[in-house]
Amino acid sequence: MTLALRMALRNVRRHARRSLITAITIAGCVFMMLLTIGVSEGSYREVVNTAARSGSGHVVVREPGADLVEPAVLAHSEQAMAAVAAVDGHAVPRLKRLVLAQGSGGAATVVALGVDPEAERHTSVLPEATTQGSWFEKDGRVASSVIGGVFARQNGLSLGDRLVLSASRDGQVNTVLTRVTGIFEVGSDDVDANLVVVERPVLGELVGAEGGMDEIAVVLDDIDEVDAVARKLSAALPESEVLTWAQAVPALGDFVTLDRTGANLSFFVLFGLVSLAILNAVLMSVFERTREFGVLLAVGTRPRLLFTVVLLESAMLALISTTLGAVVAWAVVAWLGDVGIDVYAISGLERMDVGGYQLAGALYPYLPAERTFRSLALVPTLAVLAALYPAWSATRIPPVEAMRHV
Amino acid sequence: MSETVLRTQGLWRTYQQGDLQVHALRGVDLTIERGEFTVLAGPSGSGKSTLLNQLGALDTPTKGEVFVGDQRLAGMSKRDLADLRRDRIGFVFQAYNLVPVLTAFENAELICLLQGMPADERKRRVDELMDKVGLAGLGARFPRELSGGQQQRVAIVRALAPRPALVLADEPTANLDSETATALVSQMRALNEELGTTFVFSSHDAHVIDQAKRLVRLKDGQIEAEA
Repeated sequence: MTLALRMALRNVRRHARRSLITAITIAGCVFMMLLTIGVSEGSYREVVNTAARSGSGHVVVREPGADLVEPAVLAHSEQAMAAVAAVDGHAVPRLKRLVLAQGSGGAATVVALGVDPEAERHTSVLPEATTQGSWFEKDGRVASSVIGGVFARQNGLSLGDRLVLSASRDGQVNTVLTRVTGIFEVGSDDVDANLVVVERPVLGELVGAEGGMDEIAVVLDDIDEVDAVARKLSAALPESEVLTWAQAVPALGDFVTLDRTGANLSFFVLFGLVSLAILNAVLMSVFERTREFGVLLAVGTRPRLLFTVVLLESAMLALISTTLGAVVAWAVVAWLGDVGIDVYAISGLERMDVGGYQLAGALYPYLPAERTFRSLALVPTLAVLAALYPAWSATRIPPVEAMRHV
Repeated sequence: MSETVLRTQGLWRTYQQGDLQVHALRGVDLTIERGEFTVLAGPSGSGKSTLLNQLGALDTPTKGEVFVGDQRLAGMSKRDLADLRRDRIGFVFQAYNLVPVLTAFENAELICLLQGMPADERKRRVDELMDKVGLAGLGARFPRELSGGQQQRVAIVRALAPRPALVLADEPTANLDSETATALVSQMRALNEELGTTFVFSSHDAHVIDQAKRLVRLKDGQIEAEA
């Protein structure tokens, strides 16, 4: 072990009580930071999964530039389905068009989603969220439609009612008659008020896209794989457009980015304050050792060694306490991630939205590796920065004056 | 033929205290030859410690020159002065001034370590000197576990282990009882004889003064008498 490391380690132990108080402060802040990250990431994960499984998918494959205003059938759909299968994603083919929906109580422009009901059953939240009626039933005569609860209330629709969908086909207005067989409540006003789901062939016939699909919603088992899967699909499908959920649902993506940035800023402020506590502790410790540093300089120690010792002391203290705080936080977040937090019982609220999507009953905190390690790296970095001035001060002590210091 | 280890020429050190100028040294000319065992004696305030600080390149004179061997200290950078102290001068202080977080052995080998001496050579030198000053077996103890006399012996080993040309000791017995002080000075005198190391002390302790080969008496910042 080098002399600097040995001296730094023993100096940390030398003022055990002061080191312990500083370490507990840092560890406590690290714990709070990781718990906050865990809870917020858990809530993002939940609403992103809801958004992905209620429409967008975690990753979307579509024609370049296509959207609801200018829809286009995916040209290389078979190749795209194969590419999604190769990255272990669940491929959910969909048609997605703006249509006019007219019931007995009124008419509104809605997003019509043409789906394969069985494929959706394993990947989408819509079947599970269908709280009235059922997720598509064939009576052989009239096509089924499953609609959002808000849309149903706004238009006075209930189970068994007729709903006529109209859209343009080859310059002519085309219509299809459906019967409402199910009503879902996803918890997002956007989805529950504007989405009407029919079988894909029904919508295909309405808009003139028989057998086609506008997009493939790729649903993943692991949300952390989104970026990697999107990269792989982009490489495999150069003629198609591949979007992540954040790009496909920009309002939610922007919300998560903004929320993360706000949280990171508050962590920065928190650890800025912790850095002041570290600065104070290290300055005090340098001041107390003025005589000792003076003697070391007198006998020929180069100032650089003292500088290194002081920086190492601060870095060690930060590393030890960061590790301690991180281990405890990891254990608590893992436990909460297992049992869940009943946010409604704790808050007393009846509804909580994150980025426009309602949180389900329980929240399952989790710590994504990249954000966790990036946040943790902040702590020793700030601790070393905070120790720069005291370390520099230690090298500026005039030996003769220092040795008179008691 | 004698060899000059240390030389001062017209050395002045003046401190400003408010509007008052205090002359701690007033034109000191002193030459120290190799192998001397010199004591700078005099009452408090006579300038002993100030002179020792100048000789050890710890402080800068207001006027005059200090030479260590042939090397003129004026104009040297802080880093070069630190290297000169490390390589050519050993220090023993009144208050021992060991590093509290290092053991007696680690304190004793500190300067050798800073010089980059190999570990086996450091160990050989330190063990040999620890044995000579009666500290054999105490190397693993921390300063707080040693008596004042033992701590001062560690400081002496720390100063001597790198085999400097010169050892400067500022009132090294001031905090010790008379029996320990006498024994310590005898040991340093023996090391002076055996190793040929040059010692310069500041002291007003009779035990030290009695052992001096050369006595330089200071008064009011000037050399009053030599014997």
